[in-house]
Amino acid sequence: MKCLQKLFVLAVIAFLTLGLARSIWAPKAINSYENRYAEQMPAVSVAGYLDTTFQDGVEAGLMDQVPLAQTMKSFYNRTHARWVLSMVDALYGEEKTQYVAYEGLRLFGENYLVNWTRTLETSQEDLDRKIQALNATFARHPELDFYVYYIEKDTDIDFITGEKSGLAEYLLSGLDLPAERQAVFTVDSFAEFAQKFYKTDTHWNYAGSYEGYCQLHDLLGCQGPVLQPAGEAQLVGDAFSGVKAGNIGAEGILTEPFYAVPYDFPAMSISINGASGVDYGDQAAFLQGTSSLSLTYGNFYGGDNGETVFSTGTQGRGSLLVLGESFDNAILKLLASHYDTLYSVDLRYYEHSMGHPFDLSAYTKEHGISSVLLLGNIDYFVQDTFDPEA
Amino acid sequence: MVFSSLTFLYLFLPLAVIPYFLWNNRTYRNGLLLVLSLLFYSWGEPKYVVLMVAATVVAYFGGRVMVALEGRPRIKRVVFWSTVCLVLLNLLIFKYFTFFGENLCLLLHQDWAVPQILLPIGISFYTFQILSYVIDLYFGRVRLQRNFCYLLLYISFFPQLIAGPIVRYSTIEEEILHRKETWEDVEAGLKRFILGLGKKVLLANQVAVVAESIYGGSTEVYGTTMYWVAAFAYTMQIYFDFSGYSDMAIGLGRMFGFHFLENFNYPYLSRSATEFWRRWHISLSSWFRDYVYIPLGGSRVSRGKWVRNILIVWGLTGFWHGAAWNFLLWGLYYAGLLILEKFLLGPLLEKLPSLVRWVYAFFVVNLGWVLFNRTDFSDLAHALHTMFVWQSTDLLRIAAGNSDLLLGLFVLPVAFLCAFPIFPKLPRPKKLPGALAADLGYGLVLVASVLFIISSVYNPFIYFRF
Repeated sequence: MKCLQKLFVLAVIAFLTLGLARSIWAPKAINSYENRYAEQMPAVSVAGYLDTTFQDGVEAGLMDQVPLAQTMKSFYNRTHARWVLSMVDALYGEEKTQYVAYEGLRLFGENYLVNWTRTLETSQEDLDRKIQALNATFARHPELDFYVYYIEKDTDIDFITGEKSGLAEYLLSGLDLPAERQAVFTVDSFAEFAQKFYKTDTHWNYAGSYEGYCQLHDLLGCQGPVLQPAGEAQLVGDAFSGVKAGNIGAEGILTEPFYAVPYDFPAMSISINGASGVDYGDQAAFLQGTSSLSLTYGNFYGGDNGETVFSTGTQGRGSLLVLGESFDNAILKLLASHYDTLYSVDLRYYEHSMGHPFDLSAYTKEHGISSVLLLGNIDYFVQDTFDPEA
Repeated sequence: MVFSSLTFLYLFLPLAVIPYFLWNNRTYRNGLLLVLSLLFYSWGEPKYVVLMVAATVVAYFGGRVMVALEGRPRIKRVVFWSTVCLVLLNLLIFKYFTFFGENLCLLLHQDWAVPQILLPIGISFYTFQILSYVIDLYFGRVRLQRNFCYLLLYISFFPQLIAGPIVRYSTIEEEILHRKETWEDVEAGLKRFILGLGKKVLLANQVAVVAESIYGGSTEVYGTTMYWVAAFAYTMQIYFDFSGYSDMAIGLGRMFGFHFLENFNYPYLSRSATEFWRRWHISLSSWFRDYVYIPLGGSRVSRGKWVRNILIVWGLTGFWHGAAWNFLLWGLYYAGLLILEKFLLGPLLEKLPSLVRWVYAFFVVNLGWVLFNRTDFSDLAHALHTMFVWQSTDLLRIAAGNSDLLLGLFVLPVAFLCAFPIFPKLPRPKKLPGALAADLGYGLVLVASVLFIISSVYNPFIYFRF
């Protein structure tokens, strides 16, 4: 028994010491579970100690570096999600007629993860700032034709009362832009939302994005007819967990089937952040069941890049600059099929990827662009990051 | 630094234990513990370590002068009171100055800019430890500690530094130089530490969500039932939070060969408020008993003075917990209960069945924690009103607004059971398979605690503000 005593003490101390040693001498570079760079143990410094940044860094470093940290976090989150969701289902039924808050989001209907509804009251200040900034940009660039496309989603409507926030109307009415250069992708009911959006992901699904593309085709006056799907909607995967599920630790717990339709895209050369000869997304391979990538919205349609350029090799159809966010991923190839060249810039990543800040005047002059599409949901229209001339 | 942080578990603990047991020299070991203790304290607020060292310097020189003045009682008394006042002044300035300044402004209708002084962690605990040394030295109950580093080690020893228990100098006087570390102590200490960690992380933090959600939620949503649930949840939270910390402190001390006295003895078993305070935060109640209540005359005085003594002690106990009026109210609430039990209820309670007495005690303790928790008087009034004037609760609507509450509610009965001596009554395994299973259980508690720390951001220690 004495031997057991010693063994217990030594095992516990070894377990803890191993964690420290691993954190210092063999740290991981990537936190794969949370999809980011792993925090590292900071270098010791007197200044850092006195202002406690060193101490904060140590705790953050250990959080990411101790053995099995990510496995433990994943296990905890999945167990927690499974437990809470089963209790929620037991209390409210599988078809929820009221919102049930969960980890910063809400469950509604058949476990749709939906955002909290925004109100004009809380968003007005940000929208006013954005309206002012965009109007200044419009005024500075009379040589450019600007188009604004606002995408409504779960943030824009209360699914229980059917009351809408009026954010799109407020934004568009404040912009110095003719009505024919503005459009809204509307969501007027939960049934409509369920039809056009994923249950577990932020974005619009194949049906919603195609509808958006058709509206944009009309708004932009694209040449040529709307590109038609080359077939029926196909099941790409039956256990898709989108970013909303991932963000609340319910990846693999809250799942849904992922459907997509095939398109016969015209041949186009694509460059991403200056690197050419690549494809954007992996749609064809996914639809054929040959993709080696995990099934995510970004892997399927294409991700968020500082700059993506689609060249169809045609002439006389003009160029389009899309200043958008991840909602545009699903429709960039569709839109690109109507232009000689389509430039997509995501202002969140442009400077980091291209090595210099984005300059609207220089960019449009350099590429001979005369049409600019501003596309996004409410987040895009309230965040300063997305100002073309911030 | 808190015990339930990865920094403590993965960095501090191995760095303390391994070199400590590699050195077989008492001086080096004590030196290591002192350096680590100062590092531990300065980890969160480096500048305040100076304050603690300064208070110890005052006690050290005060003590030396008092001993040097042996045989000259008048001057010795002056030095004694000067030392006590200086140590208390430190506490008064850093804990109570802002509070009294703001209240004076309100009283005099003035708009003075009262400095907002940040409360140094553990100041109430180490001040009381310093006072116990100075008072016991004055009355000859302990010997002078001539080595400043050893006195500083007693004050700053990391296991009990920031949230107690309040260790008297007399308890560890001998052990500073003459303790003996054994494998039995290391093992028992480590297990006690793990048990405390589990209490804090697996129980206190989980039920905390319930009390926080209800008290922090919309006042219109939560009705009578939920306010009683909140009171119950906070009752569990504060017990597991504080007793968990005490377990960790006692366990760590034992690992290094120090034997602290117990701080909790299943307080929710109590059958009266008087008994509750014999079981709850024993090191504080015995400190006030020995250094305030008895010097005032205790119970061996007239009835009027006895009542006065109780009111003074419990008023101070309340204020010790925080610079806010609700803490004073909480202290006086217990003063009232104790007086009531001594003069009126005591004989009556004795005649009642144990269960009824337990229900009475549990009820008054729960109510007491509401006074303790609600620092804002309008919040307190609302909580008490909702608890005693029926308001219905739509539980489905509440859970819809905070599904994590469901998890906390689920843990509450488990916590309630663990508040009673269930495990100590289980036979201690004497054969290998049983002992192995017990060790495995402790290992699982440790791993589960680490899992919860890594996965959860909600990890405060309630008793840090004292």
